[in-house]
Amino acid sequence: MREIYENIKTKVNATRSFNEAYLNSLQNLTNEASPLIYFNKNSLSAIHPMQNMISLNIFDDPTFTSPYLNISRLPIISPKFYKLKSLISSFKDHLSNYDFDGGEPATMSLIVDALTMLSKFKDMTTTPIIGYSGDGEITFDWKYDKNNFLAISFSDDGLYSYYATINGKEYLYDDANVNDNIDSVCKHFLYGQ
Amino acid sequence: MDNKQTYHTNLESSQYSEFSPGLVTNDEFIIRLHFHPSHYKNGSISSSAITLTDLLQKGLSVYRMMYLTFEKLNTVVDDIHERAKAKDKIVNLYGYTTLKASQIRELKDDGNQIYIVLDDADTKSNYAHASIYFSNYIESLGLSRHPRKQKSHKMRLRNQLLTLIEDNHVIGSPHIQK
Repeated sequence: MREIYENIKTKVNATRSFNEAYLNSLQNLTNEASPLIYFNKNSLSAIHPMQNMISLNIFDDPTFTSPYLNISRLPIISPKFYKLKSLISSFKDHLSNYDFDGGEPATMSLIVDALTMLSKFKDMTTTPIIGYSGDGEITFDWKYDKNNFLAISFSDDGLYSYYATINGKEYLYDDANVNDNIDSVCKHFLYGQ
Repeated sequence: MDNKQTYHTNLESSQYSEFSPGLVTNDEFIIRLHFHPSHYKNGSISSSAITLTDLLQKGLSVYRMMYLTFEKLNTVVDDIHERAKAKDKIVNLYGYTTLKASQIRELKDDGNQIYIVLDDADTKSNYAHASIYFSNYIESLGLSRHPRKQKSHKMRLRNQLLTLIEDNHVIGSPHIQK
């Protein structure tokens, strides 16, 4: 594992597509428990299943000066959060045409986008309904009633859109960056009504 | 040009192919099948169960009740099961929604029809198949048929259909006579 992180350190400023290919090759080389490690603009994350557990480490510093896990910086994450992460990660495991309607597995970069967004929700008090469609869309839905609803959609380009209604008033937003802070509309749903 | 790409110009007025039993009439019932876990999460139907690509380009798959046979339903469900099993996953038919075609055609935005329901049987075995698309109202709003552009507006329109489908969904398998 240490060697993997050393290698990642040297590649941290590379482009995302390069990183994905690089990390895929790392996963093939390692004998460890198939860690899923991925980059985004401002973060480095790792998931490795061990004895039915999944752990997540998020490093906010893009220069990532330490190659080793710094336990003190690990966020406290609830089992509910682990479960959502695990669900999102599983979208990459679909077979091609898994739905007999041309559906494809999720790309690594789409999963990274959704996980990056989810990482902002660590202290959320409500849980979204997370779905994946074979055309490359991951959605987070919060449904309270017909007048209070939020749907966030990711499409593999580092951006997301949402449609929301709060007490019947509509909110639409396109091309928000997954690395930016979430706005007040999203926060409204994250922390309950 | 493929027939499926002419939906917004010919609308609902011409039969899709020689395999089609005819246009979908307003009083005809159609059925949308829902699978778990693909479509259902925590008892709700996920937005991603109705893809924008389907509504904009490919057509959202539904079946015409009067032409759907027990054998055809089983074939569809078995295919989905087998596909999932190959990946050690379990996917089950969890529920369904039946609607009159008119209920979908009557969904309006600012007085305009949002959806069309088309017969689209492209083979003999696909006799009962039909599809739901966004109508050409999309273009009149200045929106493209590209699923990733101006997405929030399309999500807003999608939500009307999602709500209708969710309001009418039934858990279990549809009863189709053998």
